Amino acid sequence: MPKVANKIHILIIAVFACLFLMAATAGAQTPPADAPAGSSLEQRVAQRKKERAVALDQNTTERLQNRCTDAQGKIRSIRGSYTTSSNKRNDVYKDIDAKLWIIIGSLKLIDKDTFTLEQQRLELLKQIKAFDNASVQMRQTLDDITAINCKADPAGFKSLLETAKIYNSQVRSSFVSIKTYIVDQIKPTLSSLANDLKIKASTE
Amino acid sequence: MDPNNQTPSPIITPPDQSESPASNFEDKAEKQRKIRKIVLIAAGATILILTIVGIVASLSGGDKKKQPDTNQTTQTPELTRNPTAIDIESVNNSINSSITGLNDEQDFPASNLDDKNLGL
Repeated sequence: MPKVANKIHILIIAVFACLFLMAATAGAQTPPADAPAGSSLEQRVAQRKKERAVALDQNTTERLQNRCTDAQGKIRSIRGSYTTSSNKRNDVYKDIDAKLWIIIGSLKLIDKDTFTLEQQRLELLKQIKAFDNASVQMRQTLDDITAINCKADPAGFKSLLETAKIYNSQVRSSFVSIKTYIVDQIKPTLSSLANDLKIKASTE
Repeated sequence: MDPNNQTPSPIITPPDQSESPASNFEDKAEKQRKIRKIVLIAAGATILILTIVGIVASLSGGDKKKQPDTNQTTQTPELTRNPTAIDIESVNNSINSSITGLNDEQDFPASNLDDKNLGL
């Protein structure tokens, strides 16, 4: 009986340990909230520290303090190229939206049913907005990383860096989602409309 | 001799009247003719000016009415003619080129913020 009791105790401890690990992991993966408009650097650092709940041991703290300045230099150049890429991408998305808007308008002139295409355009706009928001938050976070005194606040530096990684992941998944939506949904709708017009032209 | 033994009344000539009534009448008539001439010339000039202004206004107003039409037809033909299947396919291909021309990995590398990449 004592052996069985011991096994049960071990099992209960293991279950709690798993639950604890899952909770810790979930906390680390929690998407960051948007930084409030008009917030200061200190406010944003405090927000990210609270969100990420980074705990640094002595070794990690010293390592960060020794290396963070060089990392800030690299992040500064990443931030520059990031801005260029996201602006270019936004222009492409705006161009696609404008073309859809024009084709919807011209199809309406000949009384074609554009409901599906209009709905798809609205969904695309929603996804573009999500990408744009993630880009803006990402750029703000990168700015904060380069602005913070990383030697004085390595935990804040680490929290911002972890936040930036999450935003980078969000940005990447959003533009993949946009591309997939355009290729799998919008383009087939346009092809279908073109086919309808071809059939109509051939029968007239 | 006046039968009533009255001295004949002298003919009194007003000191400021040096001309005869007939010449006065002619002067007045001359003045009136001059006034009439001036009035006629002024009226004619006014009519001429108004005519010129009216012609110029009608010509420029006509041009303004024409210009927007030509501008509209040259600047935005897509909105005034019916779309064809080719138009839609063209938009479709254009969207495809735009979206496939974006280099995801180059624009937003997955590992550019890794600790290893940053030397942390």
